[in-house]
Formats: sequence, structure tokens, C-alpha cells
Amino acid sequence: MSFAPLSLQATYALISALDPSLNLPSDDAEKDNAIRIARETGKWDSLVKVGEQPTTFWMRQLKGTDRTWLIGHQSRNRLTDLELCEIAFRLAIDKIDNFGSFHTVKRSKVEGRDLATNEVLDAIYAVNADPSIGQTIVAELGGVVIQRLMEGVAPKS
Amino acid sequence: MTYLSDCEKCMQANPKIQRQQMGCGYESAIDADFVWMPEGMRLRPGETMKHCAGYTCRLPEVIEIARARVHWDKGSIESFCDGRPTDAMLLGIEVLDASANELQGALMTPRSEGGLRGEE
Repeated sequence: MSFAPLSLQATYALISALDPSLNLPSDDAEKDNAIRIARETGKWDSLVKVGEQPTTFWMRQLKGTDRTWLIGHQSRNRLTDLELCEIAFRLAIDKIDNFGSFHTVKRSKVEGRDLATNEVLDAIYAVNADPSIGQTIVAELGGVVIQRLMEGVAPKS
Repeated sequence: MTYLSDCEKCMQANPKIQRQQMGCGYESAIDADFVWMPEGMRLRPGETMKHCAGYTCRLPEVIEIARARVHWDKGSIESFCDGRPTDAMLLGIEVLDASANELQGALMTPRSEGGLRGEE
């Protein structure tokens, strides 16, 4: 199984630590480390259970103006942390692979920004009929997007 | 230096604790003052290193920046990027280019003057 490597230019793939197809260490610190290494190196193969395919979230590269807008949007609307992660996720998500029958991310304009509609969040929150699981996934992946956007992709060393 | 471009060999040759002490990116971090870096590499004031330079150089985004720099150097970055480069891409190229120039300068400067030229 191959995954597109991380990129600073093209869309990049994210996989949630909650994905049931991943075989992760039970210790939290070891699990975080395994996810960090896979995200940095793009090497997920050793973490994926044999014969299984994880759900892959393809994210767009965001620009400096997205950063400015996101900061302003948060300030104007006093967003909670989860709401901020949802907005960042909707800004960045391009498509989702291996997510049941869901394939196409529809988009709409919000304050001139091109965001995915809430349909994508509703589909994620419907997983296992337990919105809290989907919210954890969106918080995790939206958090990655925010970190890349706010802190930049820092020199890796 | 043998293992700079081959993490797998390094992992076979060096025990986990030793690699942790060297800042191996494939291991969980431990509190260590020392992170391995190749001869001649120096940190600027205020800079820190979390991971071994070998791990860093093999990351896909770093390789992408190195490839992009070749095209940027020839004025064809937009062709490589299939459009305008992202801010992160440009920043990465600038950092790499500055570091490459710094290394080139060090290679031209005798060891007696703090450079890397000549015998040890």
C-alpha cells in the first residue's frame, strides 16, 4: 500500500489516529510517537493492519490570506476550539478516500472563502452513530491544519 | 557520517537508547543536550535541533524543497509547482538556499579560520 508523501505544494494526506485499520501501540506516548513519525515520513504501511485500508483525508494547502481570515473569523465569532477546528477542516479538506459511499466534497462560499459544506462534517459525525468520535477526528485533523497554517511548516530539525 | 543517508542501516547498527541520545526521529524524544549533526553544521544563536540531521534530510517535504530549489535556481519554479509556489515552499527554499550558501562559504574557508577547508 502506498500513500502520497507529504507535500508543501500539492494536496497532502492525513489519517486519523482513531482509524480502526491502524495497529497502534496501547501506550499513549508510544502511540503519539508512531503517529508523528508516520505523518512526518509518510510511511504508514507498518501501522496499517494487513488487508485493511484506512480512511484518507486529502487536504489542500492553505494560503496566508486563509490564515488572516481564520484569525479574524475566530475573533469576530468567538468560536470554540472545536468550531475553529471544524472551520479549518472545511477550508482544507479536498476529498476523502475509503469512507463508505462518501466521495465528493461539496463547497460553498463563506465570507468569500471557499469552504466545504457542513455535509462532510455530518457524514463524519454519523460514524458509529456517535458524534463524539467524529468530533475527535475533526479536532485532530483540523488541529493539524491549524498548526501548519499558524506555525508554518517549521524547519524539521 | 556513514548513516547520514541511510536511517535503516543506522537503526540496525545502533541500539535504541543511543539513537535516542542522538535525536533519532524514529524514536521518542528523551531529554538530551546532544543531537547528532554532521561535521561543519552549526546552529545559529537561538536555533534548536529536535532530530538528527539524517532523519530530517530524508523527510518528503525536505526532499521536495531540495528538488524545487533546483528549478527555482533556474527561474522555473512555477513550472515545477504547476503554478505559484506556496508560502511554505518559498520559505523552505530560502532556508535551504541560505544554508547551502553558508556551507559553500565554510568549504572555502581554511580550518584555521573556522571553516572546513583542508586537512583536520
